[in-house]
Amino acid sequence: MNGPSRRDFLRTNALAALGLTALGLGACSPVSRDSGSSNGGGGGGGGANIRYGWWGGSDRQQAYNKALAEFRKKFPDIKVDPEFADFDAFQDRIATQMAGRNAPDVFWIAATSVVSFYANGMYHDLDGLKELDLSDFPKQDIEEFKIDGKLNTMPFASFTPALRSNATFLEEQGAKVPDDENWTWSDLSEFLKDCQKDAPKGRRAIAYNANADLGFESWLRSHGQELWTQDGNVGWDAEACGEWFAWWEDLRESGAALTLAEQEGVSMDWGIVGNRVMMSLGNSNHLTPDAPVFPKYEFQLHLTPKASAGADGSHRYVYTPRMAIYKQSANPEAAASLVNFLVNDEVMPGLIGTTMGAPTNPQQRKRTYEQADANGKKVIDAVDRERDTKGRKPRYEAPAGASTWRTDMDRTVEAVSLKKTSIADAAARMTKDIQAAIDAARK
Amino acid sequence: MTRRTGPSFGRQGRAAHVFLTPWLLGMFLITLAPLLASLYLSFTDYNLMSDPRWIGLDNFVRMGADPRFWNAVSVTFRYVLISVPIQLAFALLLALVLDKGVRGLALYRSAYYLPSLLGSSVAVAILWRTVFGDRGIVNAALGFFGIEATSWLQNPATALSTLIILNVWTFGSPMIIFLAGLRQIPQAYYEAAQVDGAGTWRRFRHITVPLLTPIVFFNLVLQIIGSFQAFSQAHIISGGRGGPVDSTLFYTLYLYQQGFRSFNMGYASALAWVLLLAIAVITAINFLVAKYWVYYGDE
Repeated sequence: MNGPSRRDFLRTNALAALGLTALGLGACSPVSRDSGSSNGGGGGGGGANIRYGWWGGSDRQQAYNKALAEFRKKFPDIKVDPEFADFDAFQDRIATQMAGRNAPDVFWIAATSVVSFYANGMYHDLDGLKELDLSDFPKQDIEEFKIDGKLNTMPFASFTPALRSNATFLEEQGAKVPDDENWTWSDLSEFLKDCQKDAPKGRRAIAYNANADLGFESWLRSHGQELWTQDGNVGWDAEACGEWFAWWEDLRESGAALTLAEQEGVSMDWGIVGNRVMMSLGNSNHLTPDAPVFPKYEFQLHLTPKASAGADGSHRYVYTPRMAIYKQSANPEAAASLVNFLVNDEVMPGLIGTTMGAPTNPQQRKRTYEQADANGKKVIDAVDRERDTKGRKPRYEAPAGASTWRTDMDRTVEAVSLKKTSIADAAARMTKDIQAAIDAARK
Repeated sequence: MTRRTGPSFGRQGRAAHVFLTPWLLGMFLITLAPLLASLYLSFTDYNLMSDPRWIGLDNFVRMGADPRFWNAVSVTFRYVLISVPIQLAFALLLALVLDKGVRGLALYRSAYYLPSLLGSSVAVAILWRTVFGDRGIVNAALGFFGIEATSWLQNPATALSTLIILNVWTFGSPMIIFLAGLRQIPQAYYEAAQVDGAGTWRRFRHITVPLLTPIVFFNLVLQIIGSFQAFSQAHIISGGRGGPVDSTLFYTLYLYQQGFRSFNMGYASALAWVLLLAIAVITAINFLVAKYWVYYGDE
């Protein structure tokens, strides 16, 4: 009998490789759905096993691991399995877990998913859970937390869009940041260009933060527009969006802002740019992990500008990240105990600090402030200044279908900055595409 | 050949089936079932959270009018067409050098194979950012000659090239296979040719190349399939976006974005099936064309 020829051998191996392709693609398909709920042994009585999902950097991971350890001391019958990942990986995982009906019992929700998850019935109603004590919270705040009149997510912290200045750099140059209560975007632009004139080689006045989502929203609100409308649509027009891009391009072309090449991409990497810029635009709470990266520098947080000198501060807003209890949690009472611990317990301020900004619980915010270092106090002050602004316009969560709007924004900022398209075309396309995705999700 | 029957073979057959059961279970539950599920999903509108809704061929029709789909196809084809031949040529060249019996062959072989083990890892992708970044090693070297720095990864004209270089760098696996193929060519052929006055080039052209064509074909098929599925390098280096301005948007990356970022799992499944069919067609064409240039010793 003849054995297999070399041709057969090679052919077999090549076909096996093709089969592996199929296997790899198979892995792209979602996990099979079962009718079970989020796993966990036992009921709400004794011996509950729950999962807690959150995102962030390593500092936040360690902080919350310590918090969970404290929780276990107080609730020895409740075992909590931590499920941590960086932001992007967490979004991938939670989407797959939702598909498999196997989400963590308590999980954080990305801003772009709040309404989407709600529309798909992923939240457990928090109103009926006696383990969750909200007596520290003002009634008005609780009303603002509700979606469609129901308390089904728990905003646990607050932060704001903020300009961050490197006070050490500015002092070296003899520059002083204008009064941020009344400055305008034009004032800021002029200030940055002036700073650039005296800047040492290699230093820029500001990072290229045209894709900063909170900053963009602040720009829109200051120009009388919204990020999202109450009825769940895009709240801006292409003209306002284009003016935002033009504002940044003017800074970049004048040399006051970093180029994308200098900051290694559209999303600023603080480790790369932190010692090269005098200012940056982003989230106020990011000062907490970022400041220790450059311990020799002193940083300050500033309010975002107004559109015109005479405008009121109604555009100011506070963003509140949320967490929820999974609708199919087998242990909603135990999950509520964990949520209660995270938003109310006295040990939390010392463990978590201001990594997510200022706690929404006023008592916790007070405790956190007392225990915070200088930068932590600045993070809370930034939130308080925005909160204290009278007549703030309401803001609305991202509608279903808008989950990729920030990715669209990144691509558009790249195209504009690299001169692959005109600003007007880029703004029009981005606005149209995001609205189209929202419309498609409604079908 | 006679077929073996009877109680003894029956017992052996049952035992064989018992031993095969774990593999069969894995094959059906982990591979075939998800494959069939994704085939079904490719005909649905499925956002991961609500039930799939049957929409027929809409997902496949949608691809035709999706500019990012066509961009991903273009990027992927350019990547495959450029990186695979260069990688194979490089691997063959080094295999020929190592086949000459250099001292410390095992060490060189291991050293050259190492990038193949690391090439698609997160660590190397991050390293690549450091090498080709604005303040990277490449720019430092160019700066020594007075050439102005640029970020190779943030320039749409050069970003894909850096990923091609990364793929070429992982030439160790085909090199090892080439080396094994070279070792199988009988030395007597070379000696006879040398006696007949054939020089180095003629011996390579008329002995090495023909007898190595099955190995070239094998490597070619493997590398083409692997390159069409390239994902992790672009994902890590571009932060999952395929930027700048979609210049590194590999097909698999776009598929991933649709499935796990846009929650369009039905469309992502359709994209996956188109990729599978495309690879199957290209592999079939490779096999058809192979009979014109691949020489098997048993013919």
